[in-house]
Order: sequence, then C-alpha cells, then structure tokens
Amino acid sequence: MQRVAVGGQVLLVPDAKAHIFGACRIWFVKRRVGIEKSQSFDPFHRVLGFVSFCKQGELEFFVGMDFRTEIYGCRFPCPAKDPYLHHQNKMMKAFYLLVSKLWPGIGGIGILAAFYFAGLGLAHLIPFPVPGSVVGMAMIFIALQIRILPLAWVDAGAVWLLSLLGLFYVPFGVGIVESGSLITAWGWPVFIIIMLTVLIVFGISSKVFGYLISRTKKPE
Amino acid sequence: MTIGITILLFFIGRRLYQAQPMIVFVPVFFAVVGCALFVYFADIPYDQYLDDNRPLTFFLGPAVVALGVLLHKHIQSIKNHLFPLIGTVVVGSLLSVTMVASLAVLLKLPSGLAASLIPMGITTPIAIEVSTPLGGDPSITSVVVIMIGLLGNVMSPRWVRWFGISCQASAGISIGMVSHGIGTARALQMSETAGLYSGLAMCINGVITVFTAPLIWSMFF
Repeated sequence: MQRVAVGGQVLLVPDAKAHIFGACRIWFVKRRVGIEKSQSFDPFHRVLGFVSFCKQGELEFFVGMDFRTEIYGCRFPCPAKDPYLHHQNKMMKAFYLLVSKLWPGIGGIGILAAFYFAGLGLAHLIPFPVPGSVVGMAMIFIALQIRILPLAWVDAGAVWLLSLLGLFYVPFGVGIVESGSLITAWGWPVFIIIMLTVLIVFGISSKVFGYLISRTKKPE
Repeated sequence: MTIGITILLFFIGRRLYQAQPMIVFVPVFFAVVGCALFVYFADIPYDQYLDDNRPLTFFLGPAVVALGVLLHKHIQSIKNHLFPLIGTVVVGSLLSVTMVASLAVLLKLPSGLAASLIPMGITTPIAIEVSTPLGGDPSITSVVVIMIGLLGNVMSPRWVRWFGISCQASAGISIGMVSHGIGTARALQMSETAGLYSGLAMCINGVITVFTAPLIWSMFF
C-alpha cells in the first residue's frame, strides 16, 4: 500500500520510461482521470493538472509533487518505503491499513457534515426558502474553488456519501407505502397527471438541452 | 434495530441487482418494499420507524453538500454547459408547473389537491414551502414528491433509453428535473457526470419553482 495520488500534480510523460524531474518521483499512470486545471510547467513535459479522482489501477504515470502529497484510494506497488507497512507487528499493520483506508472517508464525511451545519445556520438568514444543504453545497464549492479546503480532504467522503445517497431516502420511501389510504383516495386523475407530467418533462428537457447545446456551439 | 434492517435490505438489493438487473432488485425499491413489509408485519408504527432511522436520514444533508465537491471536480464541463443547463431547467420548471395546473383544471381537481401537486418535481422541503401558502396539504405534497422520486429512481434508465438520450449530461438533467434527489441517487450510479447534472438541475429547479409556481398558480386559479 502506498499513499497514492489524489490531489497531486500529474505530468504526462511522452514515453513509458520513468522520468526523474527535479525532486519529483514519477510513477506509472495508465489512464488519466479527473484532471482539473491545466497549466504549463515545462516545455517537454506538460503538467496537465491535479489528479482529483482515480480508481484502483488507473494511475500509471504520476508525479508526486513532494512526499507530503497524500493520495488516497489507489493502491499499486511502489518502491517507496512505508514504515508502517514493514511493521513487524501484524496487529499494528492491520490497524494501519484499516485506518488509512477508512480515515479519508470518515474525515471527509465529518467535514461535509460541518459544512452542512454551517449551511443550516446561514439558511435562516436568507429570505426565501433554501434548504441548508444547498447553502452548504455552495459554501463547500467556494471553499474548494478559492483553495481554502484541499480536495483530498473531502473527496473520498463525498464519493462514499453519494454512492449511498439512495439508502438515505429509504425511510421516507417507506412512508409513502404506509400512507396507502391517501393514494387510493385520489383515484386515477392524480395518477394521470403524475405520469403525463413526468414523462413529458423528462422528454422535453432532454430535447431542450440538446437544442441549446447545438445553439451555443454554432458561433465557434 | 430497524435501521439495521434498512441498511441490510439496501445492500442485499444492491448485490442482487448486480447479479440480476431486474426492476424489483433496484436497491432503493427493494429496501423500501422490504422495510414496508417488515414494518407492517412487525406492527411498528411508522413514526417510530422514522425516528429509529434518523441517523440515516441525517446524512441526506451532507450528501447534498457532497454534490458541491463533484461540482468543483467537474467545473470545466459545467462552465461550458452553463447556459444550456439553466435554460433547460427554466423551461422544464415552467412546463412542469403549467402542465400540472392545466391538467388539474381539465380534470376538475379540487384546488387544495391541485395546490399540493403543483411543486411535483422539486425536493420535499422546498415543495412543502411552495404548496402550503397556495392552500396545499403538506402531507400529500411530500407523498407525491417522494413517490415521483421513487418512480424516477426505478424507471429513469428505461426512460433514458425510450427517449434515446445518449449524452450523460442531458440524461442527468432530465432525471434531476423530474425526480429530484431520489432520482439523482440513480443518476450517480449511471455516471458521476449524470449525477452532478441531475443534482444541479434539482437545486436550480427548486430555487426557480419557488418564484414561478405562485405566479403560474394565480393565472389558473
């Protein structure tokens, strides 16, 4: 296990040999994903940006900007020494592996929850009804954009939470099954309204989006 | 204990759906039906069930905040599509509210029921804020909104195929427009881009409908 690179800078290397560039160590990256911001860095090796998200085995060439760059969520063999991995004590090793795997997610969720509470507080000050979570969303977006908050701190937590989003709605869903009497009381007009509106809005919005995309692309 | 059952059923559904992608096994649907049956046969009042599951529903807030992280990661794509995104949501939101209102007039629904149906496509907390001042019943609104969300969660991949939508962003917007957060959960399973556009469409739609729904309502009733 290696502290791998989400939140580090990525350098595309023209051929498959490992380069040493300044103090950076370069590892092998198969495919680049989630590249965020482009900036030129060196005429021969263009630095494409920051790796913000990558799946296991997707990194092949990688430039860790320095050894403090912390990269979570990936795992590939790397010659770098990890003191905890070579620990003799099996319990320590297992504990370290567990913590290093879980911590980014748990810490990230903690930060997201903090932004949520801050958003709830701010939402009271806004005159029209906006849920606190949307205010929190805007706040975390701004914090990430002006680089107060490093992406690596919240990335794993966000991916975890969003992959479980459906689960959080289940208790509310049970509520509608419970209130079956309400549903039968409305009869078919409500059913017709729901199905017609949902299908038409679904179809029309995709058509409108396609049309607007084609309109905005034309001038170029 | 019921929270354990909810989580367990969700993960069983997820595993089953991976093995056999059938509508019955869509994790959210599977867990909802399973929990409803459990609550019914174990004779647990719904309020108590909801109270036991408070730790789960709490995470809805941070999960919406997590959409801000996705927004940051895909900001370039959003910047390129910002105008089409907002334009589509405005058109869709107006269309949705107008359709519900005119159909309600056509089918001669009582105005209280019509008002509860007006904010169909937006998240529950905003929908209640919209429908209550118009004379709607908050409990009917939340039931309808959640029902449409579940419908979208289960059916949206099928709808995407029906309407021949090939672009992830477009599919995401359509899903977010009709079935808000619960549909967004499904869009996120399709791809990160679809989930992000769905979440954004849901948020913008909510904010727009707050302003437009009362105006359109006053035109019809």
